[in-house]
Amino acid sequence: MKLFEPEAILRFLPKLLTALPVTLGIVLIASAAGLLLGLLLALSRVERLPVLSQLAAVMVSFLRGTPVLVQMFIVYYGLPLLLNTVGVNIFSWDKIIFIYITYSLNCAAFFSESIRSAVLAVPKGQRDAAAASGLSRAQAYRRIILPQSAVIALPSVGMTLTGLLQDSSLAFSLGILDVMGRANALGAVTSRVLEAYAAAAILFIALTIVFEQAFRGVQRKLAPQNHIAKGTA
Amino acid sequence: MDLSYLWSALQAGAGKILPTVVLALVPFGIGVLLGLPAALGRYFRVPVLKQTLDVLVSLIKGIPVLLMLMAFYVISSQSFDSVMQSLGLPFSFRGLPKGLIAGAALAVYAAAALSEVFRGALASVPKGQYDAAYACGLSKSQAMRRIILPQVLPVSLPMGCNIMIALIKSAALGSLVSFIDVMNAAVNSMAASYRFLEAYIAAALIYWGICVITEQLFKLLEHHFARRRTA
Repeated sequence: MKLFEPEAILRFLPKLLTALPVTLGIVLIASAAGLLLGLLLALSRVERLPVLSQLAAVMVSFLRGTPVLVQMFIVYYGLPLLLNTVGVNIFSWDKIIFIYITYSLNCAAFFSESIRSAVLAVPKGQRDAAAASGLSRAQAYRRIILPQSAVIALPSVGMTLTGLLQDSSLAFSLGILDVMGRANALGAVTSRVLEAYAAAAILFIALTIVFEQAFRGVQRKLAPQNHIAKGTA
Repeated sequence: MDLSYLWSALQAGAGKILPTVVLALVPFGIGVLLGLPAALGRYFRVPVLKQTLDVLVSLIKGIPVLLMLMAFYVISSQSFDSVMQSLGLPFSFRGLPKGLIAGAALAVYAAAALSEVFRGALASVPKGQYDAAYACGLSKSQAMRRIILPQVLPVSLPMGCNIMIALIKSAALGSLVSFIDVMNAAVNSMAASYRFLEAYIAAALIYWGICVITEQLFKLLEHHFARRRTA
């Protein structure tokens, strides 16, 4: 048996592609739920809502200061026990749901920091001007502050997303057959572990580049100078 | 949840704080040593070197740390013995500390990530600083050492802190290549009683503590540099 057989990588790639929906599913669900929860966390901190703001700060610090791997196992072992005490039985839930919950929470923490600093970066005068124009606070957020914050937060949100894509590979340690889990299984069956890892690496690198390019495209489109240029032209 | 189990898991995990921190610190140090020259080569567009490093960094950034770690482990398990044999050295894979494998993988990741940080920081130094340094008669290397780098390092601190924290958290992945870190120690101590929730909560608390302290240390450094600049 040859030590490293490059042709095996080509054989493995299509097989790993079948696991891509699992990986992308984790990224998609976690980023959508994370964005929503992250926005709530960020706003409760910016607006200094009593209790909620402190709670959000502790939660964000915990989620950012502990490994996702550990969070995953805490959710997996802890959430069913926690819900059991209030009479909800989720012991039979599919593992992937715990993965979705973990990554959503983790993402929310990172997103909330990006959103918070972006909201704070919008000049205070914008808020005053919105209030002076008779907008309510919710209207001001929706129409004035958040659209500007979104543009500012975009680069770091993009970085979190590529990080999420790579972190999602940890799901395999709970036995999920995502790209990484599939690569591991293929490697074990064919005893061509390194080739399977190489195929997975190629897939992850390609996905990362696609993500980065997509974000760069969106950023260019939303860049404020573009709007100004179009407005004056 | 049982607090007495949590306490003994905490004790077991706390015993492995030092190896965990070392597993993050050493790759961070190597990452700075490799990442700074790499950033300089990329920022000043050294022909060939820049293109090579650009490709290398974007490849490394695309590979999950976990994958890198496991690939390093497989490579060394397959070829470490034969390489050592052909070199006539008396080392074997079985005797190889697994922390070295994990450390090597984390160092590669740290070097790529830190080179990006330093490159960004270099770009933040105004061009006028170079002109002023040369106008004062400083050589290229003197300008670098005395004017540019002292400005680059403080700017890189916040992002550097993020990478250090990412490394500390990645050290938990060492458990997947049989390196005994905080998480592994906590879980092993509960293996007989099946108190895994307590074990993971204990590990999380310890990691949280390490990360918060790291963050504060970096903040202190930032304040130190900020004070010096205004003084």
